[in-house]
Amino acid sequence: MMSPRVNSVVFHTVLTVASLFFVLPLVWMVVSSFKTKREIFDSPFSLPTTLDFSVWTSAWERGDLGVYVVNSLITTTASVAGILVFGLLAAYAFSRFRFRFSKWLLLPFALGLLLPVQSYLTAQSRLFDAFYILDTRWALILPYVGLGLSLAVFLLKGYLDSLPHELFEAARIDGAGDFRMLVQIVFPLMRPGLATVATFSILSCWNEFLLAMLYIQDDGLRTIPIGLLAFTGKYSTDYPTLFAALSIITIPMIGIYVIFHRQVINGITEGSVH
Amino acid sequence: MAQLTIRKRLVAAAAIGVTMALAVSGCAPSSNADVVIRIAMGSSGDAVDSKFDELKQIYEAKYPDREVEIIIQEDDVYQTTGLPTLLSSREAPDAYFEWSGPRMRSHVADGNGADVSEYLSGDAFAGRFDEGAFTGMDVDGSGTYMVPWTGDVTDVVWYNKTIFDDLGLEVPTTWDEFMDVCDAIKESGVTPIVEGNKDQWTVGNWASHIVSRVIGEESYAQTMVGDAPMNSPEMVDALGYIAQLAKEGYINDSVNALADDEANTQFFLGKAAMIVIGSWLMADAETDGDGLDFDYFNTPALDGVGDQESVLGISTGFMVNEKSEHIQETIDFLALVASAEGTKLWAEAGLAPMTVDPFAGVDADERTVSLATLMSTAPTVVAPADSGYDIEVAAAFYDAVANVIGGGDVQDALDTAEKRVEEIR
Amino acid sequence: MKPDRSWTPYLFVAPAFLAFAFVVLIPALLNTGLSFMDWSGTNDMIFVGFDNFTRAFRDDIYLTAYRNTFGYIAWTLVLEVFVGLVLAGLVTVKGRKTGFYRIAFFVPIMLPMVVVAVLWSFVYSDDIGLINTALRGIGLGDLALVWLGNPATALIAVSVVSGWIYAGFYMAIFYAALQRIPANLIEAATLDGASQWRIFFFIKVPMIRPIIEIAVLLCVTGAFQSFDLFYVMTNGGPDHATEIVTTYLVEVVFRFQNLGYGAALATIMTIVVVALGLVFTRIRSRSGGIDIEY
Repeated sequence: MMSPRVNSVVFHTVLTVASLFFVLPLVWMVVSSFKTKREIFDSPFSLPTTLDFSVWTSAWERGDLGVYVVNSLITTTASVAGILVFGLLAAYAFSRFRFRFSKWLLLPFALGLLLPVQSYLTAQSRLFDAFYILDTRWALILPYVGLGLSLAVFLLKGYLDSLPHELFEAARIDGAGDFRMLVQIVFPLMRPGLATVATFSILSCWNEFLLAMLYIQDDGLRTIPIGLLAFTGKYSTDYPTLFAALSIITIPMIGIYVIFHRQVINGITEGSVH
Repeated sequence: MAQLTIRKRLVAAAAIGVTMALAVSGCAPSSNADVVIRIAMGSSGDAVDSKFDELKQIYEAKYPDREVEIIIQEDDVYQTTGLPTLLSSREAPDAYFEWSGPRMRSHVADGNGADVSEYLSGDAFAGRFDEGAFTGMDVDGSGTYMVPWTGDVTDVVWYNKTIFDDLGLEVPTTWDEFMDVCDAIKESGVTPIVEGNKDQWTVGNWASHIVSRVIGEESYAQTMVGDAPMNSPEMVDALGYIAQLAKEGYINDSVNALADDEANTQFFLGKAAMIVIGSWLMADAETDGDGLDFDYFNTPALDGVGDQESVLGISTGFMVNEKSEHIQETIDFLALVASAEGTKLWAEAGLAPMTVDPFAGVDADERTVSLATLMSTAPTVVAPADSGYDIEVAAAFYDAVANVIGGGDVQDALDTAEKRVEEIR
Repeated sequence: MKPDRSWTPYLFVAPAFLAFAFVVLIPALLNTGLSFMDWSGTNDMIFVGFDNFTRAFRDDIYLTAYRNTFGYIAWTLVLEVFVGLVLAGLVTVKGRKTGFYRIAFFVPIMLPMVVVAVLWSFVYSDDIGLINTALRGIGLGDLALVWLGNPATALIAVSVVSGWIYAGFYMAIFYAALQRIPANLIEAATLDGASQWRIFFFIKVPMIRPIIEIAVLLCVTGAFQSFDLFYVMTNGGPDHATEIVTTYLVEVVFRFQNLGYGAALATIMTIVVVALGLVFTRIRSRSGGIDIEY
């Protein structure tokens, strides 16, 4: 067995190299945004000559990035709120009540976990079209809520199932009605579960691409992923501006992640394993 | 405990309320004007897009109670999923950009295109167009379904004059001369031709032109709607020219990975001597030209039965949505697009408008003017496969072309294409 | 528990169910029906029976899409799940501080796919890309292929990007599972003189087998749902080398406006995915994995 000292150096070197693989492309992107187009073309690895942030401000303005951020905020907030509220209500009912058809009503949600959205995308778009929902915020909020509910219902039901029987018996004896039990007892206890679902849902909605691309044509309603795509289409060879825009969007996200990494990682892994 | 509950309920209610308010705010925005018309198009680059903003200002100044909403999408998206979605949405555009030919006709068939021939012969457009401008804008020989806008030459060979001069090269007039030119450039260590075929239409369009030159325009038209086989011996001959480029190494290795605008950039940065792309390169040159000294020549003469002087091109225009509730206001806007004032904007942006005397009073680049002349005086104008004919057949053809330019076997590629076309028939 | 009033459960379930029905169930049913039609969205719907399905089985692009999808699954099982497992093993080595590395590995998952796709398109670019420039710089210019333009390498290239994004995710899942293994079991093995390697492969891994199985299922179903990365990086090219079922589906429906055919393709895909899910659950219960309750 190697001596612990050598072991340690080797160990950390290996892991550092591995980390670099994951982090380097992002660093390159940010660094390159400060170079000129020719510099990027002729010497991709060189460091920039100046730290000119004007490219960043011009990217923000020309690309109207603010609009995309606002849209993503509105869509994500509304969708996640819907998922949490509807999901908790339904999970509560499925978990704590015995009622006819409960198994039949629960089954579709299981199917929703398995099915890729492309399975029913065509029909869904026609349906939205018939209801004149296309090219409005509802065209995204409704699907995001619907799609997010499958996971939410099962996750929350799992948490609820583990709550002790006696808790509810006691409350019932105290004369609590169904709704009061939900608000006074369940809701406070579900905070970790709701946080998990929220984390997972926020990430999915924020980065959702396919539906946002197909259902929204109005540039004023575009969310970040599609706004960025439009931006890359328009400025695809203006490399500095392009990298600047990507950096502007990415850095805050990474910042939030680094600060809240524990919650984020827990939220996402819990969400997938159940 | 009771307090907490009530507060919690209030918070929940507030959250839901705010959410609903926000969501509702996403519904149809209100505007101050009495009439709002919506004009949709794909992006033709910053230079052109900003001209539409200018035109919008002019229109709104002229008609104070009207508002124009210009919808510009990324052009690949517009062409494929964007426009169909827009047309079937609740606020479909009142007018929208289209290429003449089958695409236009399918919109008419869907009830989204109005016959504007009456307006065109009226006061609004008096004296702006020659009869010839409306070719290809009819359905079954009658009516006119778009207001013409620009005439795009879809493919010419642009070349770097400095490189040519340095190597003592002359503009080739036959394909053999063209191959010699490529060889000389390759020997000198420069990439002869750069193409960005990631979306398949750049080389695909050129191949359309070559095919029509080799097998004749009639046969070409038949093949592109699926009435003649893709893998006929003549087709194999025609694609042989494309295969030659790949085999001799006259085209960039990254041809199928590079996007069209990346290829433009490489040409402007002098990384390649030639690029085969359309007249809109001039609009790009405005912003990206980098001072390159360049000019163009039409695809050289091939050994074939088609017109060897033919030009690959297509006219574009704006269609008026038959379902629009503001047809007159829309016509007024399009009249502005076609007016002398509007024409000047397009010419300044590097486009070739189809109106009479398009470059009057504009210091237009002589290349843009000569391209416009090339198009209007061409003995034959051929439309590219994906704009002029059946899109699924064109997709199969373009697949085959991409395969061949990537070094694949011509017969195999065309056989595969023919198999797919059989399914489509 | 019995509800207060018999209708309260239904009331509670209603919003979720209605939303879900409108967004998923009804479209799923409609889609199945649509697969038997020929429709362009604007003309009349014509009933064509099983024509769309027979066409699908002769459609070489569609079949290629499945081949590519399964290829992608194979690559990502290695690049995402296996690599994730190895990374998890590394960061749980006894007595090492690895928090920083775990954060780094997980970063790519935060990013919108568009950013990843654009970024890696540049990394792979033949002209300004990091990889080829580096290769040429150290004299291995011959190895500088056109990664995304060459049909032979395109799928692998995209799979590597997928691995870059998700390896950290699987690492996190396995890490959480590994943390829950009772410490005394590990103690016992270490005292017996086993090296970290042996402990990992012969004790830890088998103990988290249920999690590994779930990871495999996630990877497989995730591959079928993949779209964003493929669409932005290559859109199925070059020459359909990276065409997967979802990208082809979108092209058929939204570009060719062939809604009936697209619906049929979707129906077939659904059947395949559900079948895979069932097979998986059957294998799992048959092999009777010991579910260790921590």
